[in-house]
Amino acid sequence: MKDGKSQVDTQYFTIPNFRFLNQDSIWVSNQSLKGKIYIADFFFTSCPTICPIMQKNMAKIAETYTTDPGIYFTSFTIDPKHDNITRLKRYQNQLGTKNPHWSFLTGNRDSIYHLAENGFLVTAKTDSTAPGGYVHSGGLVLIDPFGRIRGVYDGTVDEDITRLTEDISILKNEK
Amino acid sequence: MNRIKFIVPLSFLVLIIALGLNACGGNDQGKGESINNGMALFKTNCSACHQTDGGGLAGLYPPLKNSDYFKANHAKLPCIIRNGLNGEITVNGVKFDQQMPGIGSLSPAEIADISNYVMNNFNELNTYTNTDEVTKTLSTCNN
Repeated sequence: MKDGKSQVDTQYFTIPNFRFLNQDSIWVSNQSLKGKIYIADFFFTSCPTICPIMQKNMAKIAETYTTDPGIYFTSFTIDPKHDNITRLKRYQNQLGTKNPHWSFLTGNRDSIYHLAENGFLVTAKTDSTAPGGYVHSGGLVLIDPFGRIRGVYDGTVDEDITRLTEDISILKNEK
Repeated sequence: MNRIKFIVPLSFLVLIIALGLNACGGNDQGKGESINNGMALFKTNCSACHQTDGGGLAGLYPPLKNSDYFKANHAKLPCIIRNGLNGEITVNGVKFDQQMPGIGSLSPAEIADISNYVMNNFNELNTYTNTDEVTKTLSTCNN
């Protein structure tokens, strides 16, 4: 309430602490990403269903910001047993992305799953009945320079990708 | 009586001709239907990786369209769809080594439809395979 009138307030959700190794054996954490806008997703390299579409769309957006160090991309693997640093590096090369500000992250499986569901608020878990053995959200999550979630988008839907692209621009201009 | 003697054989002849013509048209119709079914099945089961236009994705997923590997190995397609593909392959000069998962849930008829769609739509091979042929091929898969 303000001056006797009710108002809508916004309480952003802040990403909790995390630290994982990327495909170049460099530690990436929520601290190292402070000050950057970044887009996060959860995938695995042998995923046969939604990941190819998600990563293709991530790659399209990443291409736009190849020379902008203020826009970062983080793809967390939910299959760290197989997606080690070598495999993630190979995946990055095969995806053909030229953007140097894109980390493919691996680490402890439970930590990644916990971060996905409690930190980024997306689904990620093993499921032996699902194609590839995992069920996970196709969500792309937009994080602002203060580590706060500012948007969630379906990485397989063109309209959402358009909306994400527009929101990145809005966030870049935000004071 | 003479008219009946004439009409019955004539009718029989007309019936035979009609069945023959229908068989010829039926094959074309069958092929068309198969390709149409295959398009929908391809979109559901294959396009996530190989893309809707069959063009593949960068160095991750090989193209099916105008693919030299595909043209040389299209007879193996039912086995590849059913059992997947492991190991490195070279397609149009580019190496690919991502494991392709097989789709065990597809029936021989569905595999025939996808094969016909891919062969005719992406590679202009103008070939046709049917359920029986696919069933026979699947019994000889070595992948």
